[in-house]
Amino acid sequence: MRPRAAQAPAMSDTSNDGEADVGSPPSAGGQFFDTVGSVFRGLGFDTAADNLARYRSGVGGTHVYSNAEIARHGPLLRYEDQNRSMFESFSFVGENDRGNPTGVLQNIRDGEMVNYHDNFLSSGTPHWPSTYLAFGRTGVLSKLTGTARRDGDNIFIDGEVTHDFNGGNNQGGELFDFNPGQPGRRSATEAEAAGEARPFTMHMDRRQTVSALARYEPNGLLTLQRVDWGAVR
Amino acid sequence: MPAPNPHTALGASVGNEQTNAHADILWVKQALRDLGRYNPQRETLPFIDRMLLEAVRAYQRDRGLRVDGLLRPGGPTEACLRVECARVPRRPLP
Repeated sequence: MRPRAAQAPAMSDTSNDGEADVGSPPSAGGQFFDTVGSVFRGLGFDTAADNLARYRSGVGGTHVYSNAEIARHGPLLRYEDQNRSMFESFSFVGENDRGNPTGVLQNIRDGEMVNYHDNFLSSGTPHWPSTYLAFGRTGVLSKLTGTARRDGDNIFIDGEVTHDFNGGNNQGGELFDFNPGQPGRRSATEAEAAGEARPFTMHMDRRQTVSALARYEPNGLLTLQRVDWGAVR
Repeated sequence: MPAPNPHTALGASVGNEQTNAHADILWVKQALRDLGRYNPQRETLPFIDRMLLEAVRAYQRDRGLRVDGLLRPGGPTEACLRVECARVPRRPLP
C-alpha cells in the first residue's frame, strides 16, 4: 500500500451522509489504515505513520513538513541536489534542460538587469522504504526567482530558490491520496465515504539564496565561473 | 601496469606537474563541460590548459574542496565530479 503522487486534486465527497457517529467503530477501511499506521510506527516509519494519521483524521487541508523531517528522507534531498546541479549546468549558463540557449541571458545588454526565473523538477520512486511509504512516487520542484545583471562580459545572477513537492504544472504541493488500482484504494474509498479519511496537500517550505557568475565566451557560450548557495532554511 | 580501478574515472592524477594522461584530461574536460564550467574555443585537445585549471579551481572552491587544481584517482574532486555528472545530460565537446 502506498499513497500516490497526485497530479490533480481528487477530494472526497464531504456530504454528511457518510459521516460516522461519534463512538461508533470505524469502517473496515478506517480500521485498515489504523492497522497499517500502527505497523509503520512499529517499524520506525514515523513520517509514513503520521501521514496516514493525518489522512485518517478526515480533516484534509495542508501540511507543511519541517526541514528536520524532510532531512530524514535522503531521496528528497537527492532530488533537491539534482535540481541545484541542473540550475548550475543549464539555467546559469543561459540554456534550457535540453542544452539549447534560451536567449534570456544572451540578450542582456551591458549594464542592464532583468528578472530571471526558472525551475527544475526531479522525481522518481524513492528506494528508501521509509520515504516511499510516506510519499509514494514523488518529486521536488525547485523554483528560482531572481535577477540577472550584465557587467561587461560577466553575468551576475542573484536570487532565491524554493523547494517543494510537485503538484503538477509547475505548482508546488502534492496531494496525499490513493490512486485507482493501487493498494489501499478500496479502503481509502470506503474510509473517505464514511467521513473517516480525507486527502491532504503536502508541502515543504525549503528555501535558499543563490549567487552565480557566468562569463560570455567569444564563441557565444556562457561559462559558469562561480556559484554560492546559501544554507537551506 | 596496475589493473584499472572500477571505482575511479581517472587512471592517474591530473593537474600541474601530474601524470596528465590524455584519457584523463579528456574525462575532466568532458565532466566540466557537462557542468557548464568549461567551454573551449577550439577543438578539444587532450592536454592541460589554463582554462581547464581555472575551471577545476573554481569547481573546488564552489564545492568547499581544497583548491589545489589537482585531481587524484578516487580523490574528493574526482568523486564530486562523478556524482554531479551522473545527474546532468552530456554535452558534446568541440
